[in-house]
Amino acid sequence: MRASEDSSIVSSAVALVGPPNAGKTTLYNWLTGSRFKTVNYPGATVEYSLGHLAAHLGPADFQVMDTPGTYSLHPKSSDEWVTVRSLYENPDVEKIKGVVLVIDGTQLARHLLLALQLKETGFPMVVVVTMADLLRKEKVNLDLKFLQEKLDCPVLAFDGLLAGGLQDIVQKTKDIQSSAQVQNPIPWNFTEQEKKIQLAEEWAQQTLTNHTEQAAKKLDKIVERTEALDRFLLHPIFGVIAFLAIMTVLFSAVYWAATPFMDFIENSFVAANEWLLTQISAGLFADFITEGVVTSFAAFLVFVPQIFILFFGMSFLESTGYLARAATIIDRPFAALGMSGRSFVPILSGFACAIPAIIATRNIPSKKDRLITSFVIPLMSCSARLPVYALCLSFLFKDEAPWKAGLSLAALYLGSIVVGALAAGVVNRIISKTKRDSDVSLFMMELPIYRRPSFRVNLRQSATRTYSYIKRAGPIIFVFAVLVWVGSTFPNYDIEDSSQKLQSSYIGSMGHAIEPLVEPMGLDWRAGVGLISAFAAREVFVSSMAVTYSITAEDEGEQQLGLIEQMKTAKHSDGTLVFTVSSVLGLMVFFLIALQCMSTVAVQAREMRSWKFALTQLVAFNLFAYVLVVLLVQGLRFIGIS
Amino acid sequence: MTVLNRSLPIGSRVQVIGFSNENLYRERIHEMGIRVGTELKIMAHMPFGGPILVKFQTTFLALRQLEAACAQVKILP
Repeated sequence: MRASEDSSIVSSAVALVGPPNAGKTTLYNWLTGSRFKTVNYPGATVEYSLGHLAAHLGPADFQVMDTPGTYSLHPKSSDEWVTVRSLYENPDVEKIKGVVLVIDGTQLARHLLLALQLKETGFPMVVVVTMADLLRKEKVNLDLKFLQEKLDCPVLAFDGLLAGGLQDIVQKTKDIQSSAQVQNPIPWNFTEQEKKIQLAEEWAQQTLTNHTEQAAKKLDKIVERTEALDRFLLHPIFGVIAFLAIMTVLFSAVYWAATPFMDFIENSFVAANEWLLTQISAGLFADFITEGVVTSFAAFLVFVPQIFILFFGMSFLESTGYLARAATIIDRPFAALGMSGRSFVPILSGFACAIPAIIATRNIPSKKDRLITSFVIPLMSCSARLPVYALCLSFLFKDEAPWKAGLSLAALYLGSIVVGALAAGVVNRIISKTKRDSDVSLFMMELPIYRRPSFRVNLRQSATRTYSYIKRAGPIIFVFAVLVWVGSTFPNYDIEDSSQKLQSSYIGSMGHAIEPLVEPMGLDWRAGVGLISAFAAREVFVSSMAVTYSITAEDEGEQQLGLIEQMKTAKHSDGTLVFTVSSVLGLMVFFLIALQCMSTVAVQAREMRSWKFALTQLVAFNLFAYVLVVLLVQGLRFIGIS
Repeated sequence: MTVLNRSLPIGSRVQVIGFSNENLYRERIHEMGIRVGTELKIMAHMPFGGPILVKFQTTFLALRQLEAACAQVKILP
């Protein structure tokens, strides 16, 4: 993930550095020609990434590096550390030849501070001023020549939307001659800092006004709309209502907007299976293709529309500038739980996938805030759980009004938030008791101006994220589909009765072995098999269920039925139904809390630098989930709800 | 003299006249581009006693109460 192109050490590279939101990643994407390759993860750049110049721009061995945004070279959060380290002690690059400093043209005064700091280090530098399009629209004409003289390095304008100025930037970047006299940044003391800010302001003032009359007024016009919108969106009462409304729309869209697409995918797979059966002669191979491969992929792909909509909603909100505001609105409640508003975006990403979300906690400066945030992220209902919820809800509310399922889904999401809040509260208690907190929590956050989001860019971005999700999950699904099929077909593949065949198969015996454990949850050995396979990836649960229940279905006709119908008829050995209101509710609660994702555990251990932390979490979440579900199912049955 | 906090009404203008003792907050406020003499406009107070939002030049900055309190300001007419 670190070196996106190849893992070998490169001899030299040019680094893109700049404050958050200045447009580094946009420039990086244009430079490397991989327009959306870098945005693997929702949110900001959290690791530096290396790539070479796009083929039409220059030689392939010319490397550029994108770094996380930073306000200064005196880092205060771990992603700012990443930037400084990537410049001075980069494990993947022998020498950083020079720096392309990317600054926002509408924020010149402040962003020039970083230019002054970099200048002192002696890194050869090219300064790129972004937002050229916004400035031109307001007829602000920057005197870049003046800046060039003052900074003694090339200063160029860049328009991120149309890549205006790209050729010049490439040329000047190629011209960078590495310097031998690079030194570490020296912190400024109070007086110096004050002086530098004044100097930066003066330079910015001249750059703005030399060619432009009433530049201040024109700049004000750029922020005017943002001020007006914030009067409403950050209003003490309307602001909260708007926040809740926006989040509700986001999460309900995941359900209703996806339905037609999901139906379409499901129907196509059913049709494909029927067609395949007419093409391949019956036997082990046909069995493998239809029951193993097609069934599993259908069960997984059907949820792709929902994942896509969630990614799209988040990327849309982020590009408007609202997401940063949502973080400030939620800061106080989050602080009460030992986190901060900066935890909001990672936690929201947690609803898509815990792995990028845990990595995104790097831009939380406080260690304690970061630890608690990482701890609760796996409790957020990630997109891999959606297939399981969707399956259970369609089971419970088949042929009933869709709002019932929608409302229940909302309740599940709300439930995961409540459980997360409780967990955060508990951990916060424990931490504050065990050590006196000398760790200062830093929140201070710049809110970007509102911008009209580009529908096309967001669409492509979320498509890429969805695609990379499929690419990551696909092979796992395939491997497990094959494993489940092999495990459920062999060793006695020639038994005629398919139910007996499964019972006596490898997977059957494994399921039977853990049956005493899943029985208190109201489930049978086949669901137990599903739970075991869910540890590879949660969504495998659905495909594994699809395979095992379809094999054990009593006749041909039933095999063609969907998984839901098969769940309705599945029986325990004593003849009672396996899937009832209580056992399905229990199943959902189990998936809500349990930590069943091995990749999450591995990433957690790496990011927190503690296997103890990761394993404690693994045991605690699963044990708690199990006990709670057993109590729930047995309690429900006790009061007469089967 | 007063410190930057939620008692300042929304829409009012203040000028930074100094900072409390040397610390992390002061350093970050400096890095954000606020210095002695910077004029701030109070834009919003976040709900539940949350951060306050100020505007200076073309920048919108949200600060927690604790962070804001390290800036000493005078109210401009």
